[in-house]
Amino acid sequence: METALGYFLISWTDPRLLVLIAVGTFAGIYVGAIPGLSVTMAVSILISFTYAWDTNEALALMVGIYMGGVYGGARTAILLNIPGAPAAIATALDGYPLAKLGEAGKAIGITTVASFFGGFVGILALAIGAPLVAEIALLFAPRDYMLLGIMGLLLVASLSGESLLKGIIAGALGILISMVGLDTMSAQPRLTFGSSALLGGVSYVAVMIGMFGIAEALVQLHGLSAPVIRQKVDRVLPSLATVLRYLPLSLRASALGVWIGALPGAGGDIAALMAYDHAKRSVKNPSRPFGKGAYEGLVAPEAANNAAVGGAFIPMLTLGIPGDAVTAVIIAALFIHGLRPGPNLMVDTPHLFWFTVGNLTLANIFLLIFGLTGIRLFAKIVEVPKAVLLPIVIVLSVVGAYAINNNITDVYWAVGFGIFGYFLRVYGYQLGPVVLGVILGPIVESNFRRTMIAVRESWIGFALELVSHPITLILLLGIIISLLRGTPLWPQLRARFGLRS
Amino acid sequence: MDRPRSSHPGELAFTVLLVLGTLVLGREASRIDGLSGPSSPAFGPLAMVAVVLLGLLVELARVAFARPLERPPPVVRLRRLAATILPLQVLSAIALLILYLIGLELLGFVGASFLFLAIAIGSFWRERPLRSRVPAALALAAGTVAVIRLLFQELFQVLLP
Amino acid sequence: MTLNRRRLFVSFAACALLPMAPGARAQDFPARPLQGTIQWGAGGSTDAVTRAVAPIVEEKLGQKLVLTNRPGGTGVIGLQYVHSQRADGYNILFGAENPMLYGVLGLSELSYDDFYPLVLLARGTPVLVARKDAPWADAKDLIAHVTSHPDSVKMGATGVGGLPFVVHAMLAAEVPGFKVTQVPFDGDGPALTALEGGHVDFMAAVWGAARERIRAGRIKALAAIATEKIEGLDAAPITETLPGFTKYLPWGPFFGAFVKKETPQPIIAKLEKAFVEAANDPRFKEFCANFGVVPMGISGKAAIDFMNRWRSVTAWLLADAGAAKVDPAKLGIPRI
Repeated sequence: METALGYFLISWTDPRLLVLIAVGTFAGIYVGAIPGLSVTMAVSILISFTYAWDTNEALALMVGIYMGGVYGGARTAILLNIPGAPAAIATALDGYPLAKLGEAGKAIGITTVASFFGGFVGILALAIGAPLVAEIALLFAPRDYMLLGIMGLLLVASLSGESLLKGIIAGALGILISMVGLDTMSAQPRLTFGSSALLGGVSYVAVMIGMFGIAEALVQLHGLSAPVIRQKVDRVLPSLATVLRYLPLSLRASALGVWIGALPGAGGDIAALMAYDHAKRSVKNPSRPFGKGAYEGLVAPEAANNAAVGGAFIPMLTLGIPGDAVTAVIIAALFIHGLRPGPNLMVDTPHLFWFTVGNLTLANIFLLIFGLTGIRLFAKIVEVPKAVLLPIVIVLSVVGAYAINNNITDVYWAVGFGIFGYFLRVYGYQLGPVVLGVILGPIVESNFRRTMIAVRESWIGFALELVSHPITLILLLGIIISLLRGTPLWPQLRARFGLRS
Repeated sequence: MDRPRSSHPGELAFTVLLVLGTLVLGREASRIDGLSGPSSPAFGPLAMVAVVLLGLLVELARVAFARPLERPPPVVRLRRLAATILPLQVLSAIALLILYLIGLELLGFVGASFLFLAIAIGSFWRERPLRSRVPAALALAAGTVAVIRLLFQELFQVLLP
Repeated sequence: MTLNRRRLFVSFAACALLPMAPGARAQDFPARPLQGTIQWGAGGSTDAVTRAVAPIVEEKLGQKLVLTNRPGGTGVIGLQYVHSQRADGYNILFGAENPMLYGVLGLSELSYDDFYPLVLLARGTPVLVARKDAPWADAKDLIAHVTSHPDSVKMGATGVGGLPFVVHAMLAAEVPGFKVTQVPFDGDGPALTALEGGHVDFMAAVWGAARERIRAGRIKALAAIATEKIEGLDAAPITETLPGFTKYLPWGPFFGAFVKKETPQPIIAKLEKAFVEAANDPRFKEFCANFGVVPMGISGKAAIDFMNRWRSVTAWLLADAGAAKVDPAKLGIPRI
C-alpha cells in the first residue's frame, strides 16, 4: 500500500511532471474545444514529439491532454453550438439554448464542476474496481453492444421535436449515412455510387460539424438584425446548493460513464448520449424543459464523458485492451517507449497503474482550475455581433472538417450536410437524431450482423441469444421498459404491479 | 399556418425531393451484392431505406392533406416562402459558401477564407455605416485567418489546403 | 499573406540563381519538410511502426517528416491521396500489405505497382490462438474438432482479405472439410478481445498483438504460422502438422514506406538510403522486438519480389476461397 501511495505521488512531488500535466490539461481544453482537432490526433502527434523523452514525462503530458480534451468540447458546444468533440454533442442540446438565454457563463461553470465530479468518479472506479470491472466488460458480447446501441437510439424519441415520425426518418437517415463506404466485413463498397472517394465513408465528425455548426449558422442568419444577447456573467461559479442539487444525477451519470468507458467498444461520446437520455427519463422537474436549457441536460453528459476517461483506462491498464481511441494511441506510445502493454503490464511495470491514477487525479484538479478561470471572457464570445460571429463559425467549421483526416472531401460533406441540415431544420426535422444515427448506426449494425453470423442467420437462434444470457437479458428488459414508459400502457402496468417510480 | 401540424411553405416539394433522394439511395443499396441473409452487407442499407421511405410516404400524405383548400396567389406564396424558409441572407450565404469551396481549391485556404470572411462580414454587418464597415471587415477577416492558420498549421501540423 | 508572398519571392529568386538541372535539385533534396501519409488510423499497427521509424528517418535526412493519418477503405484513401500528389519525393506513403489485394477485391486500380518501395520496414508472423478454456492443445486437436463438427466452431476474423481470413483460406486449402463460422470484427484488437471474452473460439492473429495475452494465459497459442518456432512462443510451427503450408510461408502482414514510381531517380536514391539506414538502426530493431514484428529493412528489387510473391500467394488463396471479385489470372498475377 505504501508503494502504491509512492507511485501515486510521483507526479505530485516532481515539479517537471506537475508542469507537464498542467500544460497538457490546459492544451487539452483548447484542443477539445476546437472542432476537428481531436484528442486522438493530439496524442498521436505527441508520440513523435516525445520520442526521446522519458516514458513518465510523455505519459503525464498525454493524460493531461486527454482529461482536458474530453471536457473542452463542451465550450464550443455551449457557445457556438458546434460540439468541439463528439462527446459534447449531448452538451450542445441544452447548452446552446442556455447561451441564447444569456446564461453561457453559468452553463460553463456548471459543466466544469460536473466534469470534475465525473472525472473524479471515473478515477475512483479505476483505483478501486479496475480488475473486476475489466473482467465484466469482457463478458459483453456483440449482442450486448447491439442492445446498448439500440438503447442509445431510443433517444431519438426525445430529440424529435414537433414530430416523432420526422425524428425516426432523421435517425434512419443518419444510420444510412453511416453505412456509406467500404464494408470491411465483406470488402464491398456500399452506397458509394462507384466513387472511390466515398470508399472511406462519411466521417461522423464531418456530419456533426455540418449539421450543428453550419446548419445552425444558416438558421441564425434569419435573425441577423436581432439584438445580441447580453450574457449574465456576475455569477459563473455554481453555488454549493446548486452543486448539491445535481449531485444524485451527477453520480448516476458518472456511474454510467465509467461503465460505457470501460467497454472496449464504446467511449465518451456514447456515454454522454446515454447519460442525457437517462437524465431526460429520470428527472421529473428539470430547471427548464429539456432541449430548452435544462441544467440537468448539461450535468449528465458532462459528468458521464469525463467519468468515461477513468473507465477507458480500466481495461487498458489491467488487460492492455484500449477502452477507446485515445487509450489505443497511448498503448501504441507505450510500445514505442519500450513497454509491453498487456495483461502483464501491472506485473512488468508495477508503478504504471498508480502513477496513471495519480496523473489523472492531478489533471482533474487542473481541469477544475483552468475550467473555472476565464469563463467571463469566453461567455462574451456570444455577444459578438452575429454578422461577424456567423461567418467565423462557418470558416471554423470548414477548417475543422478538413482537420479530421486532412481530407478535402470531409469539407464537402460538412458543407453539404450543413445546407441539407438547414432545410431539414426549417421543415421541422431535428438534426440531433441524424447525428445520433450516424454515431450509433455502425455499432448496432455491425454487432447485429456478428450476432446473426454466430447463430447462422437464424431469427429463432437470434431471439434465443437475446434471452439466454444474463447481461443481455438485463439490457433487453431495460429497452422494453423504456419503450413501455412512452406508451399509455405504462401507468396501468405500474398500478397493477405496484412499481415505485 | 396556425394549426400545429399544418405544413410549412414548400414542404410538399421538399418531401417529394426527399422521397426521390431516398429512391436513388435505395437503387444504390440494391446494387450491393448478395442478400443471402440478415447478416449480408445489403440488409442494413435496404432496411433503413425502407424505414425512411415508409416514414416519408406517411409524411407526404399528411402534408398533401394539410394543404389549405384555397391557395393564395403565387406572389403571396413566394413571399411566404422567402420569409420562413429561404430569406435573402440565407440564400446569399449558401451561394457564398459554395463559392468559398470553389475558392478553397483555386486560391488555397488563406486566400479563400479571407475573401469569404471579408465579403460575408462586410455585407451582413448592416448596423455599421459602410465607411467603418469595410476596414473593420477586412481587419477581422485577416485576424481570424491568421489565428486559425497559426493554430492549425503551426501548432497541430494540419496541412491546410 | 505577406509571409507566403515573401516565400514565393525567395523561391523565385532561388530558381533564377540555381541551374535547373534535375541533379542539382536532387542535391538540395530535401529542402523542406516531408509529408508522410499513414494509410491507417491512429493507434493501429501501421501507425505505431511508422511513428517509431519516423524520428530516425528525420535524423538521417536532416529534415522534418510531418505525419498525418488518412484512414479509410482499408487504406485506399491514403494511397490515392499520395498518388494524386506530385512525384517529387516530398510525399511519402506509409502503408501495410492491403494495396496488393485492391486488384482482386476490385477496390482500386492502384496498388504498390504504382509506387517505389523505399523500404519494407517489418513483417508480422501470424499465430493460431484459441480461448483459454478451449479443449484443444495444438493445431492437430483443432483440425480434428473442426472437421468432425463442421460450421459449429466460431472463428474471430477481421473481414474478407484480413489476416484471419487468409490463414483460414490456407487451412481450408490444406485440410478437406475445414469449415468454421467466421465472425468478423473491426480489427484484430477487438477480435482478440472477443476471443478473450469467449465470444469466439479461435482465430489467427499477428504475434505482436497476441503475445502479451498468451504470456498472461488469457488465451492460448495452438501453432505459429511459420516454418520455424517463434522466439518466446512454445507452440510448434504449423508446418509440423501441415507440411503443405511451406509453400505459403513466410506469410504475414508487412509495413513499408513508398513514393510514387515517377519520382526522379536521384531523389529516390537519397530517400532509399535514409529509410534503409533507419530501418536497420538498432533503435528501430529494438522497437520491432518489443512490438513482436520481424524487422526487414529491404528495398528496391528485393522488396518488389517479396511483395509480388505475397500477392501471388494471397490473391490465389482468395480466389480459391471464392472471395476474389476479379480473377487474379486476368490481372496477370502468377500462381505459385
